[in-house]
Amino acid sequence: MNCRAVRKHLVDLLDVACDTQEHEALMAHLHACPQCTEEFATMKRAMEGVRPKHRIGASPALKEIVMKEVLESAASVGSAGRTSRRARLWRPLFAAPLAAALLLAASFGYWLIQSGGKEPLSAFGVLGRAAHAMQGLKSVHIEAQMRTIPGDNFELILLDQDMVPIELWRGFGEPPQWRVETSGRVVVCDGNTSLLWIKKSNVASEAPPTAGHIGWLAPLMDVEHILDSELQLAQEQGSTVTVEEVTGPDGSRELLVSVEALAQGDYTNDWLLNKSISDSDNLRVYRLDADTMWLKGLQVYVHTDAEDVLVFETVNIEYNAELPSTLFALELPDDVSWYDSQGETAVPAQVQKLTPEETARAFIEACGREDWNTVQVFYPVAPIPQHFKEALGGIQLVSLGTPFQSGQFPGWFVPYEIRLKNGEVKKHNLTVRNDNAAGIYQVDGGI
Amino acid sequence: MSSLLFAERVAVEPEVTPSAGQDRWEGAWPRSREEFSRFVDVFQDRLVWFAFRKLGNRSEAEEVVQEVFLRAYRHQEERGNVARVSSYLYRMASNACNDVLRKRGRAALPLSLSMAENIADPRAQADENAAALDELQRIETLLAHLPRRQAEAMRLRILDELSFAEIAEVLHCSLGTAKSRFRHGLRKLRAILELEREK
Repeated sequence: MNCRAVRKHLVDLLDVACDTQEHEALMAHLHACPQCTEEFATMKRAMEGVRPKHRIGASPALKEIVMKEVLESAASVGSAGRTSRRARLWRPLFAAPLAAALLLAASFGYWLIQSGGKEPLSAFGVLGRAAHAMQGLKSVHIEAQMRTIPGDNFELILLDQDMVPIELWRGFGEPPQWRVETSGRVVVCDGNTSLLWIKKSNVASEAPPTAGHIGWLAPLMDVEHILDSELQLAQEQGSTVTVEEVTGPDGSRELLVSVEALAQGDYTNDWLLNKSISDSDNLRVYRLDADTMWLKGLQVYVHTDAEDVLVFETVNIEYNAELPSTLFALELPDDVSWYDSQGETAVPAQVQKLTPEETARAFIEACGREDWNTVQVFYPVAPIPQHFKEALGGIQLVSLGTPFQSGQFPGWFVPYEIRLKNGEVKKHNLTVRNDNAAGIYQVDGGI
Repeated sequence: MSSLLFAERVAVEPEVTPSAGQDRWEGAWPRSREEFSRFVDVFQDRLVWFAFRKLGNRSEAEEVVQEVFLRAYRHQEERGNVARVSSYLYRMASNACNDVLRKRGRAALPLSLSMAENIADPRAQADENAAALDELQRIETLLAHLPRRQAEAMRLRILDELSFAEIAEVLHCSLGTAKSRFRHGLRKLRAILELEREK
């Protein structure tokens, strides 16, 4: 090992766990090299500069309390209606002004709310009351904001982006209708069809209402069942739910339903981690009017290692306003391009066998040749928009990386490096998936 | 030559983490009450210290750790496939601390300011707590000069004594990135400490 290699690996000698073989090689070098020895000594002195000499440990009572709670928890499973209050070490942690908050594990099958001096109320009952109270709704109009890009789908969140205003309307008649809109994208559902229009790229898509055009916002369209959905998710995914009674800013009684949920995918590759709400450890806080049980607000925070980031919040919720029928119709420009991943166009046999990496190569090379018919096999938009042709025509493939999967996304990400016509090199991950009618890998994003 | 002798004496020994003699949990998520009891033994001091340095308050730190252990116990079956128990536990503790900070309504306050308030807490006047808080405040002042991610890698390695593999999992990054953040952070820290000495 030369000095350069040793200095690169000196940090390994500062790890907790030692790999003997590697350490032996490093230390053999250190014994023979005063310069590297001095370098390592300096690193250790710097560490000592921030190593605390005083540490706080657990009090003797902590373990006793934890184990007692564990025993009580085990005994209480299935005993619905029983109130359990956590033993506290020094003092109540959160002094709620009106009532106590009980942390309740949804996996135990029951939640409780306890109000000072009042009978405990089953949280199932609370949810039932909420759903019942909402059943008479005619409409809801929600103004909110989400940390995303205006033209992107309603699933993506980007923690370093500004909040983007977003508006949702839902009519509860038969059939149910809705509209969701940001400055860059709009979805309307007239009850039978969901129509998506991406404004800037002028691409539209028509699909059944369940097609997923509105992404994570879908539960908000079912505002009357939203807590019910959370309960179901809590049971399926092991989220933890806290119900708390508080006094609202206007003095009214409110219920805060807080759902702590964990990211729901495989993040061995963490590309998707924290890029959507379900791909993040998050906290969803619902605020209900305690008397009417109507939803008054929702905030969603993503937990990161450094901080909690607010990624979604409602600004205003209005119930039972008259919604004009024009709200659920969309007039598209004449020159709109249509995206149809479920189209039944004939696909050459060789395309059906392509792997994600081969698909990425074929797609990028077709763009380079400006062979738009081939591009359409992988990117089913007709006609291919002019701005797409201008941006990607003539590109050169520099390299492809090993495809990977991340989170819950059913497709693959293929790392690529391309040279644009202006000479600029762009690196990104092309997203491909094959859950379409043709069963071939098609481009879903990352262009 | 004297500096070389000193350097040699320090350098030939790899890092000796103060708590290296303590038990570490290398197994899977605990599945029985007995395993859970040992699990608490192994992690309780480390987690209370971790929460204390984030919250600057011992009673809240113990509350958080109590909660984390109970969640860990209740969801033991779901977490049976967790690859590295320690880093998962630290993430739970970190999230729980963030909840406390948010509910305090001052999550955005610099840690040093939060601590300054807590020093006035009568319970924190105990010598042990006050000394630890004083020292943490000094350390945080130094680390505040570093980029956030590098500082966090430094905290997890030096203050919490996590291995680089554990740090990578807590921070959701690769092992190489965790080491790199630490290495760059340490280099900056050296420069800062030298400046301090020159003052």
